[in-house]
Amino acid sequence: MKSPAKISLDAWEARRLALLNAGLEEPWYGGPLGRHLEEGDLRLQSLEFDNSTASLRLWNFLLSEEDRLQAARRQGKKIVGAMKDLGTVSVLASAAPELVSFYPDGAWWTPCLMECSDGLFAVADALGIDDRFCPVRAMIGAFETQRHFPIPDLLTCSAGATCDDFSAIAQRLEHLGHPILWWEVPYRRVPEHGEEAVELPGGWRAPVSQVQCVAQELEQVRHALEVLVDHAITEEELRNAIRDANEVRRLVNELRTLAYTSAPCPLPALEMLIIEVLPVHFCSDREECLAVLEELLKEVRRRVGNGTGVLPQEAVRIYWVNPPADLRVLNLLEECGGRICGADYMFGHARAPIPEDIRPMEALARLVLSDPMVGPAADRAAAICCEISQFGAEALVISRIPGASHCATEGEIIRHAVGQILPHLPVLEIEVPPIADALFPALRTRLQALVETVRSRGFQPRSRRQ
Amino acid sequence: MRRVCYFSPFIPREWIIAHGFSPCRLALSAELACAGAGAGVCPYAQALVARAERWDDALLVLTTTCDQLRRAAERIALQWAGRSHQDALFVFNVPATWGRGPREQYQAELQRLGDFLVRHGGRAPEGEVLEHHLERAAGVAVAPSRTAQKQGEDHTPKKGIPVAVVGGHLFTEHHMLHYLIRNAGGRVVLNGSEGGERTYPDYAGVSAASGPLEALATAYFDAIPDAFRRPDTGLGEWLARRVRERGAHGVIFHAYAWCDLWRAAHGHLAEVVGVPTLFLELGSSPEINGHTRTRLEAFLESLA
Ligand code: SF4
Ligand code: SF4
Repeated sequence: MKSPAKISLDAWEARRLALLNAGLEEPWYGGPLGRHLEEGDLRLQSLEFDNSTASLRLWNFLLSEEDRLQAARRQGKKIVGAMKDLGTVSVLASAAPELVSFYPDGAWWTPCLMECSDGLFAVADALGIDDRFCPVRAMIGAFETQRHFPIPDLLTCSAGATCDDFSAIAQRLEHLGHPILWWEVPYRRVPEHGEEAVELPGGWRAPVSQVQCVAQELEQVRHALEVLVDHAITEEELRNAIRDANEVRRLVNELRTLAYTSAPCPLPALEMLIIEVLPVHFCSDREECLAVLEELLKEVRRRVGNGTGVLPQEAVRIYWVNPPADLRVLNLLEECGGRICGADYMFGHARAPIPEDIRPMEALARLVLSDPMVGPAADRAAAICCEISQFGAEALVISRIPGASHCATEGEIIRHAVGQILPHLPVLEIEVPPIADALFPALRTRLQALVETVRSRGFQPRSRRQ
Repeated sequence: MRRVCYFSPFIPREWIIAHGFSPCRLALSAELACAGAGAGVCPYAQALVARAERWDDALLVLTTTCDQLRRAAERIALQWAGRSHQDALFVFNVPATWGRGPREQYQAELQRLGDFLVRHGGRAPEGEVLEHHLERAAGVAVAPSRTAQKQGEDHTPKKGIPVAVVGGHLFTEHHMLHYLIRNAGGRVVLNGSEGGERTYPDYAGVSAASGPLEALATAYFDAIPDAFRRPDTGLGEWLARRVRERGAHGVIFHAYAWCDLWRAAHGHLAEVVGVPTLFLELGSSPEINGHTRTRLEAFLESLA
């Protein structure tokens, strides 16, 4: 068995052939990663990948999602395009076997993966959605070109405490002829003195009245799904869907704990980012998603047990805030001597356990309100501080997203809150565009400086598992 | 009488009056936005935060209608923490969507605002007092739209090319846009900016007897079209109808840099109004720059 390492796309081709000769069996969506490059995912050739078969399966699972959606449609399943809530409507939809859901929001990363050869930004530009908007504007291009996912049978979008970028773009989409079922998510507020409140998955509290409002709104979504499949979705089916979703979430959380606390680092940042994305909608196939995660967990456990990893023992432990628009930046961080020990990629609620001991719709409503982006950035900052301590991170990187309406101000609020709780923690704020090649020299210098700062302060690499 | 400052049209002034406070619509100066406006921050939200830095004893009611305002409210709350007026901020959640649930949420927020005002020394309004204020408000609210309608039907004096102006917030200084339009040979027959007739409550058919929360929800929440509403079809319908009624030959849209909602809304609105349109992006300078003026003049010239 090969030692854990990061390898290039070319190296993966050779390694996969060797593995096949040695008896590797791949799932139906398996194959050489290079085929995705041929299909236009040009960024793959600049990335470094984990060399385990579990990671090969993960990448192939991720990059074959469109095929899965097309296959589902051919099988007569209805496709639900859930927008913005990232992890709630997908659970609701998974309660009906005739439905398959995905998040068109995922087009966010398409220009990066395709190195802008997709032309999605140009389409958005032509519709007046220019680079003042965040990369999610690629979504409108994907709908217009109809090349990246099948047009859904039902589109839903949460509104209210939704970022302006998304809200505006989704509205434009509707005017272009894609009807949307809008549902309200209020801005999460602190309960008034004496007001009845509940704890949300993830630990924040919200007034019961807000939870009830969201539950009522979700009932509308449930009803629309029922109309689509022409039968009622029962409480029992919802309970099962929540239980299954929680199983995915449990695996992801176990992987996070192992990957972010063990030394040496058992799995690279890039693969961990994909793992964190999976619970959002199971990459359109919950059963297979579970199998992919189980294999990864087995591999990570094995590596941790053997004391092996993909990065040097002394890699500096970094907490990362916001998804980087260019995936290559996570490789860069590791090249600079860092490793990811915890991240808030803006959809932490997608991996929070959903309560199983209350009515399913109320449980889902609580989940919606635990979205870090529907409440104050200070709440988010407090949760970030908790994770920094939990994972023993030694520095913080806030990765700004160009054009994102929240990024201009949240960095300052997060810095401030972190500064109060962890006054000596070095913080670096960077901006990462979808293709950051031109900025790499500067980004490299800044990330190296951060790593050196941590080292010069004498932080010791540590692990609760050493 | 203690003042309650606000600027969202979704905050009913009569509700504030009925609680024994003096409503004060905040007007912001672009001067406030100049200092410290970073990339990505809308100058209006930036100015609001700067304005809050020098606060007196008034209460401040902000709304959640855009991301920039939500973030501004949070920055103000942090800024005020530990100061004497730290409890003077109320963030009113205005739902974006339509329907029964969001409407009830709006009413619940009105009630929560009322409780906040009572906690700050106001009085819970009694039925008759409130009815009186609602009736007065209905009278006042109807008046400007009647005037505007008259303007539309009458068109006297008929000098200048009739145009509509539509957009979100405007700094005090940027109201000079109307003056620039006049100077360039235009005439504003429809003011769809924030604070203009688009944002007036509509009391037509509202009876105070239906109860204050119901009356206010009908007059405000049900009636005001805005770029943040989802769907925002009401905005396009309102604009297309008014442009037709007033005989506007063109529509001038304005939005501040980084105002995603109005920036994106313009694309669709331009498609539905049926007359030529111009989009102006305004900055944080109190002056409207030469480039913008030239575009405005060229637009009006093309309509002549
Ligand atoms: S990156 Fe930020 S601004 Fe863009 S869609 Fe996501 S939450 Fe909204
Ligand atoms: S100008 Fe636009 S972004 Fe700024 S506060 Fe007003 S609506 Fe919000």
